[in-house]
Amino acid sequence: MARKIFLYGLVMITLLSCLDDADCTVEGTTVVNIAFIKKSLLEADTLEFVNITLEGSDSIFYEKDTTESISLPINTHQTQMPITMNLEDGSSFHLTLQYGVVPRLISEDCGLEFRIEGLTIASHDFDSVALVDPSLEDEITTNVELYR
Amino acid sequence: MLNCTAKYRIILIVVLALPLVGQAQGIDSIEFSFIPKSIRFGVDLLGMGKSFAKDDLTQYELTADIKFNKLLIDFDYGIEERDRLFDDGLYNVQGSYYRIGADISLTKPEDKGSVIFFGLRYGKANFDNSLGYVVNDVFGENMRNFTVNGVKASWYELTGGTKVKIWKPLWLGFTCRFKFGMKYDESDVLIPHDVPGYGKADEKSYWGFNYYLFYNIPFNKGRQSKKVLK
Repeated sequence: MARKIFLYGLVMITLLSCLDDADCTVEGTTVVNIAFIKKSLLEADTLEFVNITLEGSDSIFYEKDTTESISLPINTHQTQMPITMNLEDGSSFHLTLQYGVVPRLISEDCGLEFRIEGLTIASHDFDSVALVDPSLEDEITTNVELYR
Repeated sequence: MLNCTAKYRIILIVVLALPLVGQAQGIDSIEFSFIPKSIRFGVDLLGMGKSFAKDDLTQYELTADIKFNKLLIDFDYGIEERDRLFDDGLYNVQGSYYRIGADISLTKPEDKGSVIFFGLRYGKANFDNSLGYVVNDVFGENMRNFTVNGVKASWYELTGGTKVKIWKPLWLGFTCRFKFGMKYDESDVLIPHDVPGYGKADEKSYWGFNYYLFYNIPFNKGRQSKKVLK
């Protein structure tokens, strides 16, 4: 009987070998979602941007755009990211995010992901700021609310 | 809802368990003895084969079991080193592990040339891992290296398998392992991808297999257990 099971096991193990397929599921995101709120009315605040710049990047974000919320990529090369928001009315606001970056290999085929942990507000010049959700787990949830 | 892999695993657990259950039903007596009958030393042929076949993997495992009639006390020790090359980076893990546990033999007493068993194991690993990569995104190109040494991990296993006598003291056998309860040291520097002896660290459960070649050393045959409880 044991010999039969030994042979049976050989077949089963061959079948099971396909269970090691790569799974490209990511556990988080490297995008921070920021919403603007009118402090006096506690309602959405629509801002007209000239542009938004991120320190360390040559890219321009939200150029000539009007919106009440923004989504920005986190700089995974650093643990701090100063953001400058230039508005159509000539004013500009600054916000610096601080966080930890922990890399994780998903698989050889899927590559790396970066887990952003412990998001905090290092500095800002808005009227007030609320850290709504410091965990960057999806690309929908608002992480930071900026009041002015 | 179960994904395809989860369904497949459940089916396989049931299918793998069937012959063991069949054997268990044939047992109508349980022998108790605290006198060891034999000791078997083994080497994992599957790990050795993979090590020879793959340049990016070194995996060696030794095993030993002491047989007390229906009870087998098991101890495994292994070393593993693995490189995982991906686009713009390399992950490396190296370390050692051991497992300790016991199996219950389901084989009938008169069948001395084979063992069918199921059991439990506790596994523990100690390893170093490192990750080097280049990222090119809107913040430019960045090259980073992270190393975390002395990471500890532990897990449990449900085991099942068989061992058959091939020739004189030589036995062959395989062990199927359903691994679960993985815990490892959390790090704010690097999240491990592989745990030696377990597999992928982010898998809550994992399958493992070993093919062993054993050398069996029987103890004094005159001291075999006489007590049989029905």
